[in-house]
Amino acid sequence: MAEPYAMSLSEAAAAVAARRLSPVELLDSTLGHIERVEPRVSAWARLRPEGARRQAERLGVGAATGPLHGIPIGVKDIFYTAGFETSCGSRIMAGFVPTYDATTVARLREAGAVLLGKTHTTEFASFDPSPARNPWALDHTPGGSSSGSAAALAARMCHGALGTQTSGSIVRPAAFCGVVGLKPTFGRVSRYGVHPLAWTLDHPGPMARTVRDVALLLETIAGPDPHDPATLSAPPTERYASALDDAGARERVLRRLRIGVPDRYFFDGLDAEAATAYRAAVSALGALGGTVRDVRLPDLFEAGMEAHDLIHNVEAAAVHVDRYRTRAADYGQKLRAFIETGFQVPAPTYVRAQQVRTKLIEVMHEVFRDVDVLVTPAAPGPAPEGLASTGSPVMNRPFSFLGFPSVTVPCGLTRNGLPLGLQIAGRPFEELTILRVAAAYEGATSWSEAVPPL
Amino acid sequence: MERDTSALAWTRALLTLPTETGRDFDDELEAIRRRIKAVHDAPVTHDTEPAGAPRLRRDDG
Repeated sequence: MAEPYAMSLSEAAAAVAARRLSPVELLDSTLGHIERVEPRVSAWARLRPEGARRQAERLGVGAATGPLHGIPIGVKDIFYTAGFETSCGSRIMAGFVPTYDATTVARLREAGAVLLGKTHTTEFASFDPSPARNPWALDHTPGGSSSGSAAALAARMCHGALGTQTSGSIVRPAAFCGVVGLKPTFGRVSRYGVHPLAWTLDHPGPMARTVRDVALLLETIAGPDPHDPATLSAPPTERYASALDDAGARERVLRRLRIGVPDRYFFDGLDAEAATAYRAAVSALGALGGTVRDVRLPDLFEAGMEAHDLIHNVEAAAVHVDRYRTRAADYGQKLRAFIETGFQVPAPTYVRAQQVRTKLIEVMHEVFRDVDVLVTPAAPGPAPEGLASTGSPVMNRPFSFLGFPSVTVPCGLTRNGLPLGLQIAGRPFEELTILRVAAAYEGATSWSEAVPPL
Repeated sequence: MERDTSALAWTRALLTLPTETGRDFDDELEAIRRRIKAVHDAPVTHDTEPAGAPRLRRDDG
């Protein structure tokens, strides 16, 4: 048996459910490993070892509470956690202790998860980096804004984590750190209790080391929430993890799967090694039974990306305007620039940008009539060297803008040993399709088994 | 493109922002200018509903 801290979430959950492993043993193994590697990785904003231990002890003597019984989880530090500080990577929020849990956090707790601590985020989930480092190369960024969640998972310091994505903040760090990250459909997972960056673009979602683990987290946190109106019209959630276990269903889906390869945008400035890994991944997916088709992206696609950035800009300025009046000097330089430029965008331009969004969603629905998934590189290359920036979200931004679901799965290592990711996007609320494709790819390759050399 | 300082001052006064607001970030504003042009050049008809409209539901309570 692997060391408990090194197990996947699903393996650990099965071991705890079968009473081969107690929640306390799992927690102690994980905390011991954190003690060894955290000084180098800096994934955590703050840990709660005593609180986690009390919770694990309670879970150890009681009946099974849910599918995550006793599983140590990291939560990005913009999710509210009742009685435990949530500082959003910001001087302004330092010391803030919420009185309630974000809906996603509450659902994880109800399912038996042990809240291990809060993972580092860039300032207010925007651009100014956190102290987190990439476990694969400590002088490289782990990506952002869910920097600490991705780094903690890659370094085996937790079994699952929560992140959020407004442009590329789940998929990009997951790809840079060689883990799996899912940005759900807008409305699939509640935003309640998550500090906003841009209301109409924010997507909370799960991160883990395997596709099945991400599926298990998704089915725990997804579903309608009266506190988030965007979730109320969503179709019912599915049992994503057990659906992935159905090999027959997976084969049937793969046999008739139409895999779309975009004609442009995703290849601008793409690193040569990332391009090679991407082409190999597309071939591997084709070999699994799917049909690979070229897809012409709509003419409006590039204007849509400009519209995304304007909406992001304006909504972030609106989120922060009240605090900015009195605390401007306490914001980092990149977020200050973002807020201030947001003030300068005319209101009719914001409305036009939201109209462009409506049109692009409409035409992308048509694109998805001819294909079931679009596959793209998850980032323009591996994690860039240096900690002053978190890399580019350009590959992930389209699906944040559209609200369509996307997932990244590891698809290679560069010559320097840095992970690369394959992004798979699907139709709204068809998370199960992209998870099935990601799981099939993961099962046919061994990239997800690679461990950083810490 | 020259920035209209009177427009900046107006925004600053309306939103009661710090006095230094709008003085820096020329490079970022140039990117904003390009984006604004791209969005207004995009073919969108006036009957296009902006995304982000209200999601209403009947109150059963």
